[in-house]
Amino acid sequence: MQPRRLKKGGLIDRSQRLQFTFNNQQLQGYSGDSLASALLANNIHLVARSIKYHRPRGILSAGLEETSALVTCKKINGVSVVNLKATEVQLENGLIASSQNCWPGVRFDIGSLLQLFSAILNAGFYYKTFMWPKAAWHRFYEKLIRRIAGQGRVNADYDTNLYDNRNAFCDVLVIGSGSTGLSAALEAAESGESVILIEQDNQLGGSALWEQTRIDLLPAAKWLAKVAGKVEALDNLRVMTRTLAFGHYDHGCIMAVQRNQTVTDAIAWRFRANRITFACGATEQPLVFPGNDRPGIMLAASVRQYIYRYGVAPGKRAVLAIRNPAERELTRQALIHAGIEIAMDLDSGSQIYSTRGRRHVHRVYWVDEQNHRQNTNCDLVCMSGGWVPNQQLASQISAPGKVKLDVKQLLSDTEWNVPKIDISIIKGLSFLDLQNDVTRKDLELAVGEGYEHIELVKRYTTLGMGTDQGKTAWPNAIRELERISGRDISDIGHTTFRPAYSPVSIGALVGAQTDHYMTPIRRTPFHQSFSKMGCVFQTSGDWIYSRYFPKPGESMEQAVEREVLAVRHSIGCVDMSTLGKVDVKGRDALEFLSRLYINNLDTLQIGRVRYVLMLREDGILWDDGIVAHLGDSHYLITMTTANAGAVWKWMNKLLHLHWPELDVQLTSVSDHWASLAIAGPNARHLLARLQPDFEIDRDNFPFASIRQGLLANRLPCRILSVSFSGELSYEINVPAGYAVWLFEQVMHKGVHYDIAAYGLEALDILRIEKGHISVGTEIDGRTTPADLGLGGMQSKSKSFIGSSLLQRPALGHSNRKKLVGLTPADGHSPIPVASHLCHAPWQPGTQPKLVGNLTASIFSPTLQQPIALALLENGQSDSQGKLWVISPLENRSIEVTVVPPCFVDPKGERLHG
Amino acid sequence: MRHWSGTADIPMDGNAIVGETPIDNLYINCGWGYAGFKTTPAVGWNLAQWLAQENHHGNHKDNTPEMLKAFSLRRFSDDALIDDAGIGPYPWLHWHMLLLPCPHCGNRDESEFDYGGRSVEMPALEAATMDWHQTLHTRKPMEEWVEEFWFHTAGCERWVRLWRNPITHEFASEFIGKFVGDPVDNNKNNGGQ
Repeated sequence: MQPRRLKKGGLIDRSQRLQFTFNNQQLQGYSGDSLASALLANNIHLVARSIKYHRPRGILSAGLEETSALVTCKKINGVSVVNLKATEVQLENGLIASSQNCWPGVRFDIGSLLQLFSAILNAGFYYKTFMWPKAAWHRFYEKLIRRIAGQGRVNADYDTNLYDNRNAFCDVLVIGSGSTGLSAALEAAESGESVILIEQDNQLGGSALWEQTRIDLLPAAKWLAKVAGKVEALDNLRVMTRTLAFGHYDHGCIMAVQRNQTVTDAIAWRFRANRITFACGATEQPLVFPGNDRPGIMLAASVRQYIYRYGVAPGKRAVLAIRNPAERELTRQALIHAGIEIAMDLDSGSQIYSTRGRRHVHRVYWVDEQNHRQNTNCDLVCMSGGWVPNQQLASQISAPGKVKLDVKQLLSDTEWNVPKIDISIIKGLSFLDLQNDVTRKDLELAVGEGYEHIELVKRYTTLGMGTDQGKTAWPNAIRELERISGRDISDIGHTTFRPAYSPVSIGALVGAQTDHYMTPIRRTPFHQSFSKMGCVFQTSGDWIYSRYFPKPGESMEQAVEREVLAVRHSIGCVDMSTLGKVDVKGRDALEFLSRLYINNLDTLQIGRVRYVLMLREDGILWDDGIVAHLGDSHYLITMTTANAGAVWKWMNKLLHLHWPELDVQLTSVSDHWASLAIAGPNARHLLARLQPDFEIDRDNFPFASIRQGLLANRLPCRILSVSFSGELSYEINVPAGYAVWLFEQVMHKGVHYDIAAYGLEALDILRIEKGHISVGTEIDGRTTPADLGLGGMQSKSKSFIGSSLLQRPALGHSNRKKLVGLTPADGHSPIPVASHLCHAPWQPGTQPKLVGNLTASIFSPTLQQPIALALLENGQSDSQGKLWVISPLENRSIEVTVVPPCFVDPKGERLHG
Repeated sequence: MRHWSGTADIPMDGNAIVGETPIDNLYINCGWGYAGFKTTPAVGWNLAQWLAQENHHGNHKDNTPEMLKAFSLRRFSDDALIDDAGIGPYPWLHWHMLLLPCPHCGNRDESEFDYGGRSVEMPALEAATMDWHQTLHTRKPMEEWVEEFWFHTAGCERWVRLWRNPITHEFASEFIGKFVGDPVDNNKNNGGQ
């Protein structure tokens, strides 16, 4: 069943057979297998095709440095995930794996014909070829390249995997659980510190799991068992396997991803540690020789791992090309243990100059020390160009604690033999980066074209830019650059190491914050009552806000028109709870508010309310709201929903940092009050029916006042006579818990007047008809009060935030855009929203001179015609004649007439009832 | 995921500065931030043409090319700011992995804080336009320790002064934290509260 599985041995559980498929072939493996080891046990070496030349590729390594064996995997009931390394995927029952980047199949791939063109597909070929004819790029080349290039095909289905983000803190974080990491973690834990040990593999031990060496005089396996027992016993040592550290950040921060078996579901961990110990091990480097990419050519230590850890013999007849004598001996022993014949053990003086084998290596050619050409047949090549420490993670952050890298020291174990052989006998490409098909020739070309700096070489050739981040590529590339340019490797240096050390699923970084968990949801106290009425809601920032209240069978337009007309002719009610509300108290409350707002507040009597404007420090209008004078040194202020948070922060900043001498206390009461405005000619009658315990006639409760008392003799309330719609209006505030009661009362008593609850749509139409400004449209971060016709509100007798810079010349220039109203010249054509203003109709293909922009455009139910607000250069004093609203997007131009920006009750008589 | 540290040369309205300077015959083209890649060829063309045609000897007539006029250095004091986003002169930091020493709450994750910019002494409200302009739109070069304002939004809800070392990313605050070069004393000399 598993032809290459050894009879015994290995850390696999032979009692647990796992079924899986690879390219539709039913296969078996054991619990404890990786996908790669299970494939090798089934004598499958050819698993992928390379990105550019579609060359057959096998399994090079046994870990996350894997560069070739990229596959697409799908577990039972899961979604498919592309570009997984077969060496990293733990086998599980029902796993469906398949090759990518090949058609019709991995064994016969049409794309492999591209190898014939390897001479022109060299580094940077996409900058040089496909240039002519010019028109062919979009029509032909791009489509063709898109089809051929790339790796797996991304699954566009909804990602049903589970993800989360978590935090953990410790004194010492140890990354890597090889003999070094385990010893470090134990020592720290035994001294009483809290320690977290993370390991990307599913078992502790690193190479001690399978390498037949001795540690502390004990065989590695025995040593490991002893240490594992100690680890188990320590409560202050937390062990996390399958947890890959991928990012190293400032202040002791390590990001890691903890994955389940198939690398799909995942948790992103943020560790914060006082000390970090990097025990990340080392990566064995391949040799660079012609034809070094064929399936069956593997790293020597990985072969040993497959034999001892997984009980798999990855071949029958092997050629060894290992420089380090100790490693050579270990590998020989492993091969003998697995019953693999050693065809040839090349010594360091020999040079491989070619390999053969269409889908698997079957012959190796070399010149020996006496310069004789030799060859032998084989199905496995065990190679090793030495070891390079995995210092990437440690080097990711800048100072302090940055590990200064001496490349020479890093590469001290990699031996490099400059080819002494006759170039003419070399057959085939020598690959430096197997994943991106970067060859020795590409590097020569890059240097020849002037891309000599290591960072430029990387970007021009794409070396090291794959999912393996060049773990088996960059050391050889530095050696190669040394050979080509003759520079010292310390001068050549290395490319910057950045997160992620190894690929991380975006899902893990996002965590559980998707859909309605993405941001907090804020509902007003009226939400449930509105829901019962069939209200249609919309989001507005974090808020879920009422949009309109359709009656059965009504469209949105019909509902909104009914709501608007109810307000204009009788009465409506609207939720105002989202406004920011701040209670201001203290001896200097008036002084503080006077510095904050442009208005003169000295004359504001107790019980009165004023509409106020706030500027930024640079004199630009920022927010509007009201100031209500509640009592001696006691004010209530409101700000817009959009700016509530920012204004709160700004007021605190002023008091905490700039004016700490002011005696002012701020309390945010935004969430404490439910606020319902009743607006319309019948507002006073309805208010009377709510039985306030104070006089509400025009003289005792005039416009712009605030009264506090009880409704129906029991419910405390604050009522403000302010209006956003232009009608007689009362904003009734009650403690948030009484919202339902208030709304029911208002709707019940309002039946006499045919009351309509209205939402954001009608609210907006009403304020546009009245010409009231709004944050985000007219208050757009560029306008001043004078631009919007509100310059008169500015106090001349005091300084306030923004008053100094408001005097800058450009802000007073006569040609500034001013707020105007617009109506269509023909009286009925709709005015396109978000359009520009121009003195001539738009001609397609022209770039007209623009003289302004629309801020709002609606059909007015009150006037039964389209109206708009706009910011127009020179405002109404503009006498240049005709004006058009142009919308190139809709290919429309509408001639408009400029009118004052107030369409309903310009004298403001309706406010007073 | 990508990270680097340093100061991005972005003027306070998010747009570049191109044109004349108060020094005769010194022209600048800077502050493109990350927006320069696509724009600079056109700007370079315009600037080169302007410089080639400009009469540099005593001719002070403004013949700035139409396209570059809006980018002048003078715009900050005149308030002809470009400010496409309409957010005003408030810079930000893009960071999320740091530990900040709140003087009230102790070391807390940066995600709990909002950045409030370099520490500046606010001029009197009635101060001259030029003083306010200097405060808002210009900054001293980065020093070894930079005093900054941070709001501990998800903590004590207080604005605090922190000192940051832009080279080492170390932070310091009053009462706790690391002090190198005694930044608190520097602050006192600057007349801080």
